[in-house]
Amino acid sequence: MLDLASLHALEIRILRAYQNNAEQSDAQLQQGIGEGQVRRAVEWLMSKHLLEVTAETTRTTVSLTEVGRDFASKGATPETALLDRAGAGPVAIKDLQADQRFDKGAWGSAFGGLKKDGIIDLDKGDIVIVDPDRASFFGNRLIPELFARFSDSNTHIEIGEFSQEIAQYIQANARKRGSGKAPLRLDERTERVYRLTKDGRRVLVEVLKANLTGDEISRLTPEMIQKGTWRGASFRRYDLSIKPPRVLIGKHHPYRAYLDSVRRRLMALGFEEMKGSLVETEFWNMDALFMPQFHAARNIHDAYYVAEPAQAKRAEEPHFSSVASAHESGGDTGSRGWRYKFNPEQSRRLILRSQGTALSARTLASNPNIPGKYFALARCFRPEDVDATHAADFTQAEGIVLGENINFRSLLGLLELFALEIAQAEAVRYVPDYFPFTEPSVELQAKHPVLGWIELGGAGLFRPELTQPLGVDVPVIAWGLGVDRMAMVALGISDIRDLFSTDLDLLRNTR
Amino acid sequence: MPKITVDKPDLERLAGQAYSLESLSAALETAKAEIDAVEGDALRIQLKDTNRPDLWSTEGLARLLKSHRDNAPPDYSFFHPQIGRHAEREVIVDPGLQHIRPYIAAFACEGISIDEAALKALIEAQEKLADGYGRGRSAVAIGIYDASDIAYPVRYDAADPDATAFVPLEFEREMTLRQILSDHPTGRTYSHLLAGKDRFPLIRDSRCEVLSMPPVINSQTLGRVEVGDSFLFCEATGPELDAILLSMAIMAANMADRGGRIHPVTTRYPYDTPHGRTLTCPYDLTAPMQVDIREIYKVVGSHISTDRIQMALNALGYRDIAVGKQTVNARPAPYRDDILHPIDIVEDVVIGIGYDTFEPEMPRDFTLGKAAPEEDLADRFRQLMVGSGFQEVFLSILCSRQEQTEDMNDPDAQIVAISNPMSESYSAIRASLLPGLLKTEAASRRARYPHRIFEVGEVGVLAPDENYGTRTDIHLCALEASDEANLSGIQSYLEVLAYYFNFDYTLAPIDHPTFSPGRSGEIRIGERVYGLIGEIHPIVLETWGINYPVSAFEIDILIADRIADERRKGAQCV
Repeated sequence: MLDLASLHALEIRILRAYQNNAEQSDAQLQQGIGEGQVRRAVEWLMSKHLLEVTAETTRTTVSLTEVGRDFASKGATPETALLDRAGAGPVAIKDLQADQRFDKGAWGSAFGGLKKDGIIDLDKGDIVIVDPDRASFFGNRLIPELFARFSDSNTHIEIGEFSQEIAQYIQANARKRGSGKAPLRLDERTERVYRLTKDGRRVLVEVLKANLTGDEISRLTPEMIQKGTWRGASFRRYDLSIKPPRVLIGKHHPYRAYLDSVRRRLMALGFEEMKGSLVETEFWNMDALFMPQFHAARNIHDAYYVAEPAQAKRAEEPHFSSVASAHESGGDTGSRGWRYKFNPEQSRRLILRSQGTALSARTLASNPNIPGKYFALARCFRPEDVDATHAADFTQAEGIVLGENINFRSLLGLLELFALEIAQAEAVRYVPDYFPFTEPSVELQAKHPVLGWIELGGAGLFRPELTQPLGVDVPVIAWGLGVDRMAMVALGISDIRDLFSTDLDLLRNTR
Repeated sequence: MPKITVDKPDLERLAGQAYSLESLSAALETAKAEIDAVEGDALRIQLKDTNRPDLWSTEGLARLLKSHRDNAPPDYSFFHPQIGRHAEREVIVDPGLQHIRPYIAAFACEGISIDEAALKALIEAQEKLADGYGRGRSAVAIGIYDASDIAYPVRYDAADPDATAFVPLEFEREMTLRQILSDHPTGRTYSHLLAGKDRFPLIRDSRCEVLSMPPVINSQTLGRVEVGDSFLFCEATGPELDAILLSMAIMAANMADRGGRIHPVTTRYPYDTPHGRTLTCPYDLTAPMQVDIREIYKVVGSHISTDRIQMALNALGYRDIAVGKQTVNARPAPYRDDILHPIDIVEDVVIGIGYDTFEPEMPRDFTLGKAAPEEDLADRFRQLMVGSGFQEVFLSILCSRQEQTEDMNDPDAQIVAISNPMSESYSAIRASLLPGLLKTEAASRRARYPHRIFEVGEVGVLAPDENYGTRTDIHLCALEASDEANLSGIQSYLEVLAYYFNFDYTLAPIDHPTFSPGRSGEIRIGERVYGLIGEIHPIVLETWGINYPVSAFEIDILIADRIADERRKGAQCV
């Protein structure tokens, strides 16, 4: 059974119109309900199979166009006015055109039409009536029998109601559905007769039983509240099964929102955020990390080089000299160094930051807090063949922890904390790893319910050859998390390129 | 990271143990190695440690598996003693090589059994050492020869490239040294290493039979090694003597592991080398190192028994181990050159004992969590934009140079370009966020209108006054695309930012090629410009394939905030 709440007020009123009549036509329904929207409500009821058509007739109706309404209000058409003047005495065309009631064109075409029909003619420049019988049709009948019968623009009169001559005039002076300059308009109207279906009759019984009138109020207005007229009014019940469209809202980007959550968690764990330049020198990106200048990972193919300018203007002292000597001979660090000639030119070359650790090196060199914890979500760039698993532009979550009490076990503890707090892993394990700048180095693996053991990140203790030239004498943990991969798992994305999606639908629809 | 192919039965034979894939995978963790792919018996193994070329071979991995399992390092008697040792086989160096390719080291190996797997493994080790560790043969090039026909002393000569000829490997006709560089495929690959030299290095035996032209190619006669050979000669040349000696130490250990007896070879130099004028190879470069035990405890974070330290160092191939109450003395394996600092020995102790035996300890120090001020600011702007009904986008900073310039109808725009791009799509870093938002708009024609999108993110701009000639700024760009997008519509959102961040601004009309004439302005505070606003020129919309009118603004939020900050301070003074 249909939910009565789903019935529109108009539908209720139409249903009620069948209380005493088995059949109702369009016109009757319109009359009874007195609204122009009846047709829509009738369609709704038919689509619900509550109402059906029993008969259908097509009628042609006449109505006035704007031009026609002008004639009606003036009580004259150019033709009647012309004949009127000509009947009163000789008149020239230019005399007519001085008459402001109609414009020149209207006078002209009235003259042309009447002359062509042989009703008037010209005699020495004056208009004379040559067929008084037909002239009297215009003079006596056209206005009262046609134009005067339309009370307003909504009046439609069936063409059959007019006499034959008027009907002929209408056919000649109407334009179907057009406005144009024609005074009259013809419309074909289909008039239907409807009756309730079996279901419709049943619903009508329910409507009557529930005492629904269709006059229930749909909207509570401020005026009703102010005047108190809501009292005693009955309100239309809503159909709660119909859902409105979802509104378009402002919303954060899903991947950035994920990074935000990682940031918040890191800050909650006591980490301070580091920021830096997208363009770095090889010095901070690699030299300061004790990566020898001949190291395999310092190949031209492992970083993007800036075209112009290609080099920093000056080396950044005092760290430049102490780093250079650590490379060459170990300096004061107790190391034998990498044993090669350090190249200051290479050190000043400008690249796009290729690892977030560059930020950690800079932090170490600028009097960090001890104890201290730092992190960055750093955009890094590497010349990769971009595919579903490789990005040339990616985010590294990385940072450092400094303190007298830092050691290998606290390194494992930190990694466990990350796995549990940030990646929500259930189990973790640690395996030996290699990074050019840490010793010992650990790879952190976490157990994923589907993927098994996956690499979550890596960490290690910075080598003394790295920390001491930058002025730090306490142990330092360096750590990094594969945050892009974590985001892909969390967001259910399998192609890393989709992290930077340009599809607005996708962004709007991601939960 | 180096990758090698290992024949599993060959590895098992050398390690003296059979492995399941799982147990092998676990055992390889000690070597910082991972099984990357499996194809029948062929295992593709990735080595993470770029400072351990001794592990970049089947023999090297098997050696570590074995010593770790047995807690006993292999004993290679041919490495000691060093001083005054002189071998009967000799290499004589030509004085002309001093400024061409000065150093050579060599050894011979007898009684090795070369089957197919062994030959493949030897060649792979040679290639990884020369191409990886030896940086494309520039630092180290290695040759292996059938030694049965070599007449000593071998000569390392500086030869006239046009007057000297031999038959190179894989060829049948004699070619001059110079012709080899231009006509032989391998010659062409490595010709740059000899470019500009008036004499080329050449290794010949005492009868003038050519062994090879290092670092390019062996001869077709003496320079071929085949399955079934049992007597080999191996040499390395290059400009870095220690790198050569390490490579030879590794190759000698590898061959000894396959049952070969290593015969040392003495090289006589007519000039000084870091290790004297007479040098016998294999040569042990390592030196004993001392570690303070307290340092071990400090790094590890717990006490470790001296027995376990001793055992761990044994397992990782250390020699002459003496663990006392205060100090540990040990000498790294002769095929290793990665022990720079006592900390490296500490790591080996930790690995030898096993990472899983250490109890993790949660960090205890109190520290204050804090956002970077610019990120904090970016967040506040982002919140306001979301509150204004804009969808955030997040795009690549790397971008196409063309998108930032020509596609914006602004071919002269200055941007930070990359000198070694892999593709036009990633050939610069963005100086403006607007092209990225237009790209998003162009890709989102199916999405319901209106489109209101924004991004807050880093851009790189040229800044000649800075040390790096560039500066990283943070921009905010907001864009509206709809059938009635216009300047005042988008400006009403700029008003939101200006109101809540308390910066006042004026718009100064400009003619900017990206925007429609008369419908764009610079966003200014006094004379300082910190952004642009306008309706995008239809020519730009056409370029991007956008069918709706688009209006947008882009501002530098750091400047906007600085100005607002000055105002706040000013207000306090009043």
